[in-house]
Amino acid sequence: MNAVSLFSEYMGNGLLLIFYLAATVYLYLTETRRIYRLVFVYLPALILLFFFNPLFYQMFYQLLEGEIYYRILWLLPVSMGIGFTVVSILSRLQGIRRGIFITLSIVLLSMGGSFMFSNPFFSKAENPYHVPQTVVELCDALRVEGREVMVAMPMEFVNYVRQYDATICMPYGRTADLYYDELGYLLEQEELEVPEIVEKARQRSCHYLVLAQSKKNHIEFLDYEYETFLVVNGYVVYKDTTQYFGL
Amino acid sequence: MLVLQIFMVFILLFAVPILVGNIWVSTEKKPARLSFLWVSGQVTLWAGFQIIAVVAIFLNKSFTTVCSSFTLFEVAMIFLAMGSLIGRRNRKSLHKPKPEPRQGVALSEWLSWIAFWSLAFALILGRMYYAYADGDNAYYLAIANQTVSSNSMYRVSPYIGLATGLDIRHALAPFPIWVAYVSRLSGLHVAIIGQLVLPIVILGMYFHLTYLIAHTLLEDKKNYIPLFMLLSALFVLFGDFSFSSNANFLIARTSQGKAVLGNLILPFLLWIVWKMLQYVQDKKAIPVTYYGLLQMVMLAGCLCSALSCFLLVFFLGLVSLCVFFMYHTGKPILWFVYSAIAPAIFAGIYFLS
Repeated sequence: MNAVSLFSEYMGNGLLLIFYLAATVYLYLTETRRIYRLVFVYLPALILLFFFNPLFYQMFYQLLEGEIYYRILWLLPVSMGIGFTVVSILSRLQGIRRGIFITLSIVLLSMGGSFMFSNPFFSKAENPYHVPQTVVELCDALRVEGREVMVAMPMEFVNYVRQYDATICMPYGRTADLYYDELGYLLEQEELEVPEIVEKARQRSCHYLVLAQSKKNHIEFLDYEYETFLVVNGYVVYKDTTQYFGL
Repeated sequence: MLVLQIFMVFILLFAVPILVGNIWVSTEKKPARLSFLWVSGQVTLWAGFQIIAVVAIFLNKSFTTVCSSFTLFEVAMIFLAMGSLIGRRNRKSLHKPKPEPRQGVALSEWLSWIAFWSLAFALILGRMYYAYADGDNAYYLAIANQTVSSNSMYRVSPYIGLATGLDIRHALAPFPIWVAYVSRLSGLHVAIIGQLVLPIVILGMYFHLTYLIAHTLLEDKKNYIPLFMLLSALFVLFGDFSFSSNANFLIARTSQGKAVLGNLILPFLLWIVWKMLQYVQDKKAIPVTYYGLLQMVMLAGCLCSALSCFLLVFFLGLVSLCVFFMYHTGKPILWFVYSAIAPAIFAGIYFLS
């Protein structure tokens, strides 16, 4: 990604950018006080000048991470600039024009963005911890007081387990997709290859395996000294009886 | 038990910062004083935490050491603030200022305030009611949780729980350790602190800071402050125009240091610079307390994100450029350079390690 694509991604549908640029031009033309010009006109201009400078981008990319380059845009006083411009214009208007202008500003501002809680990553919290309730129930059941236990969890839970309980260790975590993890990969398959899974799980000292009940062949674990420990909300937990559970 | 835990959170995140903010109070007059006290006090505490935690992490000390050292620091700051408070009260009794005449509040202002408060509450409640599936919490909240349960810092992989080498980049910005500290002292679970308590505190502080900024920006148009606040709340509510907007970080990733950097540290830094420039413009000496506050905000920024070491210094560099060409003076620039020393040290450790 380069600076231009990062910028267009950051500015969303572009409406807000238009408002911000219009506000900056308005303040450049009307604002005479030096501090206001510095903060709302010259400083943002300098920030953007650096942001779009390919040499600066290259330097940033080499020293830090290219992915977070957009955070330079946090330095732009966007909401402050737009808010101040609305107030400046409004203070010059009289009568019905004021009402029309303020209504228009609120409507345009709402249209320029997107309603926060309509973001698809938001969902109703299932508990005060904001982790799936199944994770809470699994962790509560698998916890062994005074020691840690190693649990192979389904991928949909790996991000949450240790937010709730740090005594539950896992053979793979959030980065399992990024850096291929063999056990994680085998457990994600619909048709389980049980002998291979058992071998890999024992190599990594897993006390428990948590699997979606819908997966095929998981009953075969019982032939390898595993026992069904628990069934929670469509997930079955197999306990490896060959592992040490003592303190 | 729960009442006691909530009371402890109130003490740690509201009462202590507001009290500590009194150290700097001579820099800010009556309007928006509570906002100033809360934000400046918390920033001061974060600055102290940054130094204590980073030193402890690199010396491989326990989390308990950080907790006891930081509590001592808090107590010292409270004493300092009380000293400043008593000193000021004595001076005040000699020169009692005239109270400002109260003006009537127009209906439109009341309506704006009501609309603002409704939106602010909706935002806070929405943030508590909805869970956001953010992969980064698997790092930040897990490391805080790990810290509380293992008493060690950044020596265990937060993703899997196995021992690992020191994660220097993240250890230089130990905001999750501060979350762990709040959890340890209050007795509330780290996830509850991150998902329920911090949204109230960080969003509350964000709106207080916006109010403080509004007072400065709209010095001659004070009756428009409620409208400015309403627009700011709308900007957050409809701020999901991109996954990387600061409003998105504020609502969706409230418990992460990055959210604090983008929504509290940077605007507060801008506010401090603004106040300093007012003195430069009036050709008056800048009170030394502003320099102190500037130093605090730079350190607090480093606590929030390793990127701050660059971002805050870059920002001050650009401000210096503007100040030099617009005001033809170099005095505040020297102080800007001085306040960039601490972030430069952290950046140096990062690049050299």
